[in-house]
Amino acid sequence: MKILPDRASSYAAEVDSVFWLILLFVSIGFVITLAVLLYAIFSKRERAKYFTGSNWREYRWVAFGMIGIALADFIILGYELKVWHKTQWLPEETHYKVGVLARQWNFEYYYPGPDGQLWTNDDIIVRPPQDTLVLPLNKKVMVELRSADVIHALFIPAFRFKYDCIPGRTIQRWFEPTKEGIYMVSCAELCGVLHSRMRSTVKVVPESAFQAFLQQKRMEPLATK
Amino acid sequence: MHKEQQSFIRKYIFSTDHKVIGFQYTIVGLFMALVGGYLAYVFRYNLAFPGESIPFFGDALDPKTYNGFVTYHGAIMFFWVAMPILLAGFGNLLIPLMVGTDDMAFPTVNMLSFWIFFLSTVVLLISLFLPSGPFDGGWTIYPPLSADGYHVKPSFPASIATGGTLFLLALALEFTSMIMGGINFIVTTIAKRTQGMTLFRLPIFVWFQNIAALIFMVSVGPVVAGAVMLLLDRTVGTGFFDPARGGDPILWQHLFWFFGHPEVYVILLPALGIIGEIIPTFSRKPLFGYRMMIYLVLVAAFLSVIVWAHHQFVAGIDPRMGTFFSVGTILISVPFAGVILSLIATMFQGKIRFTTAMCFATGMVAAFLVGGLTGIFLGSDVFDIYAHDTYFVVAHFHYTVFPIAILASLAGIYYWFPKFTGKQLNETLGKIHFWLTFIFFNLFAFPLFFLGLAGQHRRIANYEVFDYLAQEPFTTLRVIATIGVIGIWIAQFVFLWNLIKTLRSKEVAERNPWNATTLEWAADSPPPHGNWQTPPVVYRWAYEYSPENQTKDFIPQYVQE
Ligand SMILES: [Cu+2]
Ligand SMILES: [Cu+2]
Repeated sequence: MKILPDRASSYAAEVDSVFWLILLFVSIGFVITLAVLLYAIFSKRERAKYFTGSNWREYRWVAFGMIGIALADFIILGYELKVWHKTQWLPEETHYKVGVLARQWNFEYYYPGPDGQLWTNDDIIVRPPQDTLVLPLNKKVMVELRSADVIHALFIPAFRFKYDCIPGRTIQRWFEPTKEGIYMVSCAELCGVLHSRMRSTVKVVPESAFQAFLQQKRMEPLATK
Repeated sequence: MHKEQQSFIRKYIFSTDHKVIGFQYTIVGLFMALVGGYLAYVFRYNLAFPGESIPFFGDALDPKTYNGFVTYHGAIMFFWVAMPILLAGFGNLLIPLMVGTDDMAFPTVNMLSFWIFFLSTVVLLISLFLPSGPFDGGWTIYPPLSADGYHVKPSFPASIATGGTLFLLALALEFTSMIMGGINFIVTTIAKRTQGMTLFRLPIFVWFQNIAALIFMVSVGPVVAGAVMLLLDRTVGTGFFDPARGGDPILWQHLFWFFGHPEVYVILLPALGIIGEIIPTFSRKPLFGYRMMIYLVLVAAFLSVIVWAHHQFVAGIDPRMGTFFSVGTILISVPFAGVILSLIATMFQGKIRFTTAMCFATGMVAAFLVGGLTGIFLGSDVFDIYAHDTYFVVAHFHYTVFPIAILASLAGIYYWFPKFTGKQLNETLGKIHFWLTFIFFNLFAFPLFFLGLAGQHRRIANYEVFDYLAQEPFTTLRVIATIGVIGIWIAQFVFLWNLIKTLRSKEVAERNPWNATTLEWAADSPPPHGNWQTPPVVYRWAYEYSPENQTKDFIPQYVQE
């Protein structure tokens, strides 16, 4: 059994490394504390020893514990904030743009039309019954998330990507698919009755196939609109 | 006043006696625990065996009812179980006795606070049974969904009798009642301490209750305002959270979590207070680092009100804000490490006796350790992006809230039962109750970590449409978790049996059966209205256990030596 699902984006491995790093420190903390608890239980005696922990000599052991966890915290923060910076700030250059419009209860995907702009009349739109977000392999993609009604969240576990789609705002984030394949997409924010069934898929294909896909969508008659 | 004959109604229903009010809160809280637990059983069964009919309920849940049930389960366990039992119940029962006074500072306000709470409970239960169905927008009540998506223009006054409106109304009433209770705690502690009871002689329980009341009152204002705004949005069609009319749905998230995060500490601190009384008594040891513990909790209390937006990492907040909230959140682990280690140090080289109360207290510390440590994963904004709204979060907060609301409450019930009923619960049944509850709780909650890490998201009635999650081992893990919930239920029947058996027996408990040091043990069991014939005088701090050069292994606060 895999603990975390397959990885398919450029920063997925780094996100996972944050998990494993925290797991390491947390496990150490848990084992030590539990050992101390068991040791305390088995250190019981006929008459209890009177000490109150009100001076440094007695209190230092607890203080060392706090210093230990503070050090672990700073190591975790030092590492994870680097990854945070990398994942959150848009890279200098992104190759493609894609828009996600969530509504009760499906996701619609938008690609810029000839004008190169998102959310304009010439956009290429994928909407039900088609529900696959096609993406190019090894290209940085900027994603713009919007909602037409309530709050939803686009969750692509394989990309370690999840952001809310909020009415009245556009959220910009990015990812870079790094593995061909088809991946599960779910809506991770309660959005009403059929939240339970709100799902979609991502399909990562080589850039040439992606271009062909866009070309073909462009040729489709306006009837799909 | 307490010498007069009182009618049954004045004595047991509209009573101003802090103990009766404490009982009333606790009994309503326990009843609501049955309701919340029943809902949990129903939807857990539905998750384990999708599409099959549910014993003691009926047909499989449709998504709408499922959403309603998880919404009510969360809200009930927080606001109608943990709050009334830990804060209002134990706080009312114990604070006046522990500070050595006859009653709360404002007994009538106290009575009123309970009846407002009772009203909130009734409103909530009504909202569960409306023909239009219960509110199903999640216990965090995020608009626009909770404002019916702003699709339909609300028609006043018909929109009042809807699940969402009544749910919000019930919450607003509940908050009001707890504010009134909190004022009483603080004024009583400041103004009504008996002779010799200095602030640093107060039992840790009284300190933690007061800090909890303080956090609550600091944080609750914005969410009450938010609830009123949302009520207006729902009923008369204002647009506070509607982006189409200049409102902002994220505003609600800030108002809600500014309260919602500290709220966890509001129930955690009374629980730790209970544990902090039980562990010294059954270790025959002074509470380790008493003063430091108070200072550490004050630091944690301050931090708790400035970290709320860690619930909004996925809501597209400015990444720099994410950095700030991550640092604050993760650093809360430092003061709490101090508190937990101090509790463990209290047991070190003690003369430990594992009564049922002590078992629950130790179990609470162990289980809460898991909850606290897994909080570090979610405090990390990077990993939270992945884990947010998955079962990793569900597992994490059940490992915090279950030890708090269930294990600590039960520890307190076993510990103070003889004082307030005059009878002592059976220890053998108590141990069985503890072990079943503890083991089945872990069986329920631990598998959820793995489900969450696999990407299983929350509030889904049936995972069959999500191919990856519909396969093994995830289906089996969901069944195991459900068995855990059923096991927890079975364990509570042992408790029920114990309660009935004990209350029917004629055996009378001693005044101070555990040889404890705090003032409540000086009163009769149960204490009469007014508590004392002559108010006790305090001569020392609360934890004089096993002093050196003494034959006795404890000297109560009220004994002059
Ligand atoms: Cu959804
Ligand atoms: Cu929080």
